[in-house]
Amino acid sequence: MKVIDKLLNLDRRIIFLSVLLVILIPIIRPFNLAGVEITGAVKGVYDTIESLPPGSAVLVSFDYDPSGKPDVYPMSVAVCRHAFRRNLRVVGMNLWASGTGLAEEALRKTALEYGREYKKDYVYLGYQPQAEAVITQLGKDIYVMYPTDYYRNPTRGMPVLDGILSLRDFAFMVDFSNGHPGLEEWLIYGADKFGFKIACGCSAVSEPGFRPFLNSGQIVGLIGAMKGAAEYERLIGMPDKATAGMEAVSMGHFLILFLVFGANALLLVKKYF
Amino acid sequence: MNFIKKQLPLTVCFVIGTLCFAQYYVPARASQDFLETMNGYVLIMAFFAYFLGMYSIFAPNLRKIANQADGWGYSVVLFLGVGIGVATGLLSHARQMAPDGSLTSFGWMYNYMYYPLNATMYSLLGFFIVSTSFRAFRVKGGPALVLFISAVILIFGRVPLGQMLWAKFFGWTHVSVSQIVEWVMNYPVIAGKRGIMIGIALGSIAASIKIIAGIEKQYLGGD
Repeated sequence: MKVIDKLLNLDRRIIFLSVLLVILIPIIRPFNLAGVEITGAVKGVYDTIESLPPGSAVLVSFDYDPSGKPDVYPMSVAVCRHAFRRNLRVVGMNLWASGTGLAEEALRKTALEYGREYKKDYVYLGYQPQAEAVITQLGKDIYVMYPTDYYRNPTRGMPVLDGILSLRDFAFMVDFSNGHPGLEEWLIYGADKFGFKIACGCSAVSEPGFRPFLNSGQIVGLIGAMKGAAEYERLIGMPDKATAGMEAVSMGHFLILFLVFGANALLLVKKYF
Repeated sequence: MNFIKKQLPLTVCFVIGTLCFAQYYVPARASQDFLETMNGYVLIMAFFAYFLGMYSIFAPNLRKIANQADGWGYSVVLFLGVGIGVATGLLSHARQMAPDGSLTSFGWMYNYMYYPLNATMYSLLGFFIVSTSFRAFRVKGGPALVLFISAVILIFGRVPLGQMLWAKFFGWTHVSVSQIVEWVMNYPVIAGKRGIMIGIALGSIAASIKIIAGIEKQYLGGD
C-alpha cells in the first residue's frame, strides 16, 4: 500500500519532466505516423476555396496572438497558401493588436512562395481597435475604417481591392479566431447582418464553442486546432508544422490518458485489495 | 450636481442605447450614417480608455517605487518595458518589418521577447493540466465515467496515434474513431453548448435592458 500511496502522490516535477520528454522526443526524432483523417468540417473550408473563381477576393482576419500560434498559425499559413495557389486576391486584417506580427508574417511568407505582388494580389490592412465598431463599419465602407493599409499606403485605388466596397463584396471570409474578439463578433455584427460566406479556424479550446455555428450553417467550415491544420495541410498536399506537431500532440494526449487511467487503477487496487 | 452626476448620464445612456438598438433593424441611409458616427465615437472613447488603462497601471506602480514597497523592482521593470516598447515602436513607425523584409527594432522585440514570453506562459498550462488530471480526475461515479469515456474517445479520435490504434484493434467494427468523435462533437457537445449560449444571450439581453432603462446604475459609480 505504501508503494501505491507513493505513486498516487508522485512528485509533480516527475510529471512535468515526463511531459517535456514525450513532447520533445517526437519533435527531435519523428515517428512518421500516418496522416490524420479528413473531417467534413475542414473539407468545408477547402471546398469553398476550391469553388471560387480565380481573382475572387477573400478576407482573412488573423484574430490571435502568440499564445495561439501553435494551433492557429499553421492553419492560417495553409489557407493563405491555398488561396494564393488558386490565384485569389487576399485581404488580411486583424482585431488583436498583439497579433499584427504573426498576420504580417503569414501573409508575406505565403505570398512570397507563390510570387504574389503586394497591393495587386494581396494587402495587409492591419489592426483597428473595438472589433464591433470595426466590423459594422466594414459592412458599410471598408475605406472609412481603413483609409490606409498597415504600411500607410492609401487603400483607395489599390488593384487588390478593385470592386470591393464593403464586406458584402468579398467572395469568402476566413476568421482565424483564438477567443474574443473573433468568430462570434464576425457572426453577430458581420455575416448574419451583411450576409457573406464565412468559415473559421480556431484553437482547440474554442472548437466546441464554435460547433453550433457550423451545425446551423452560419459558417461553411471549421478548422479546429492543430489537428484541423494538419488535415488542411494534407488536403492541399503541403505537410508543414501542424503535421509535424501532431506526433508531439499524440504523445502528450496519451500521457494524460495513461496517467489518469493509472491513477484510477491504483485507487481501485487500494480500495479492493 | 445631481443632474450632471445622475440624470444626464442616464438620459444619454437611454437615448443612445435605444437608438443603437433600433438602428440594427432600420436599413435606411440615416440609420447607417448614425451608425458610422457612433463607430467614430467608439474609437475615440477607446483611445481615452487606453489612457485610463495606462493611468491605472502607472499610478500604483509609481507609488510602489516611491515608497520602495515590497517588489518595487518589478515596477521598475514594468516602466522599463513600457518605455523601451514605446520608444522602439515610435522609432520603427509601429512596423515590425521594414519594406525590405528585415525586422525593425520593434519587430525584433515582438519576435524575440514578446512572442516567446507569451507562448511560454500559455504552454505552461499544458504541464499543469497533465499534473492536475493525474491528481484530480477520479472516476467515482456515473457522470465521471461518462466524462472519462468521452475523453478517451476524443483523445483517440483527434490524434494520428489514436486513430492508428483504433484501426488496429477496432477496425473490424468498420466505424472509424473520427466518425465517433464527429458524432460526439455534433450532437452532445452542441446540445450542451447551445443551452449555455442561449442562457448567456438571455442574460446579456436582460442586463442590457436594465442598463438602458436605468435600473442598473453601477456604471455611474457609488452604490
